[in-house]
Amino acid sequence: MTAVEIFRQLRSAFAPKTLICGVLIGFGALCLLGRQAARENLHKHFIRFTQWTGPETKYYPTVNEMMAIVRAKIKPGQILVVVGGNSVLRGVGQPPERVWTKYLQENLGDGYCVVNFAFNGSGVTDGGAVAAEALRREFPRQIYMANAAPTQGSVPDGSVVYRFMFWDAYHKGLLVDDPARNAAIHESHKLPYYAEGMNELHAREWLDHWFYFQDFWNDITLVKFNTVWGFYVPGLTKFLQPRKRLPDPEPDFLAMPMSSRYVEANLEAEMLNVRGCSVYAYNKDAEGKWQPYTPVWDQFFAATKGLFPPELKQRTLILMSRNSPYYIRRLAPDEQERNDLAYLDAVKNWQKIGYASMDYGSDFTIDDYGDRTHLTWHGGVKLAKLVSVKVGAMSQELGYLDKR
Amino acid sequence: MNPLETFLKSAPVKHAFSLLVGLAVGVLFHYLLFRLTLPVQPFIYVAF
Repeated sequence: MTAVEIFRQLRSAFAPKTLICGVLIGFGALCLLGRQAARENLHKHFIRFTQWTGPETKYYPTVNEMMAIVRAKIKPGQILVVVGGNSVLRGVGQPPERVWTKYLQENLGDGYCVVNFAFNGSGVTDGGAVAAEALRREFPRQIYMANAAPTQGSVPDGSVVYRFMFWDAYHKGLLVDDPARNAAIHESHKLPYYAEGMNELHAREWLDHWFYFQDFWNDITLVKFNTVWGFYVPGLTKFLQPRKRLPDPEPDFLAMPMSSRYVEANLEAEMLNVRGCSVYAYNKDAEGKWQPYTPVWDQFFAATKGLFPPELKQRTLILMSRNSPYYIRRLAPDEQERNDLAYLDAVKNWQKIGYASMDYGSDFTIDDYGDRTHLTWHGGVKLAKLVSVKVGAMSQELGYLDKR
Repeated sequence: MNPLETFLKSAPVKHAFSLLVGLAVGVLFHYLLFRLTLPVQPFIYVAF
């Protein structure tokens, strides 16, 4: 019998109605299992998202996934502290057992539950911000924090890489319907850079709110076997290995030589970054004093409009991450003065628009920094101390401590 | 009619086979929705 004859016989063996029933049952069952996966905590012993559980390796955590982590970690009566922001707060260069949020948890004690939802390169409205907002009714006693640079604003629905989280939550009806934010999003999407790919993203998240394929296949990828392969997966023989078996690869900055942390060849480029924090924000007046350059700060106020719904502003702490003294000491004295002003004015301006804000790093040493901006675990201990005091004060002001 | 043909044409086998293939197609379709809607390029992190 030829292959064609075998194929014909197999085809005649199908019962069309049963086949369609099978398709519907198979697809429907996975949708239901996806809904189930969305309620379960897939990340046992969660410390932070790693390269294996982030967009760097095409893993896109869902808002339900993050909410489930919080529900699994938090104990009754605890105040929820969600850490968002970028690689600095994620703890790049701090091994998992010495990540700064562990020290923050220790400092704050049992009354608080600290969860690190920061991602490399994410902004103030990404990741953790979305999860915290989605949990606002379940855990109303919450503090959200993220970091930013002076004069840096953001986009309400998040940066291009991470905005999938916002739209995931949006299509699942988990966010506040805030007209000011909606208007700001509408405005930002007029720019081609932000508009690109939005139709595809809406389609994906709209379909997912019905079919829950992201939660289901993230569960499989993380726990059972990897379903999203690529050049980033270590070793050809390990491409099916579940992501949860891949260890957090974060190195310890303090175990690395100074020459690889502060690379001589990058000095010029890093000094441009350091100067970039303040150089455009001030001009000298006739008396030689630094004066704010209004258009830059106006742009800051425009880029912070509608970032968070009004009811979530007060519980949001914006940290101003200063650069390492290794670079700051190389600035001329008047540049150092301008740099200081930029951080202090940025804190004041975030406070002016309704957020809590503080800067850190002015008294940190070179060893507290692993490179220009990321902290060593040593610096993480110092940051945790400063932030825990601020979180305590915010909890007091917000009346969280009265309701215990 | 050869033995394979006879076996495949029996009603229970025909329905079981169709159901199994249908289930596989349903699972595949769900997976394709997941994979085809993922961004094409992974995010390359350099330094921020």
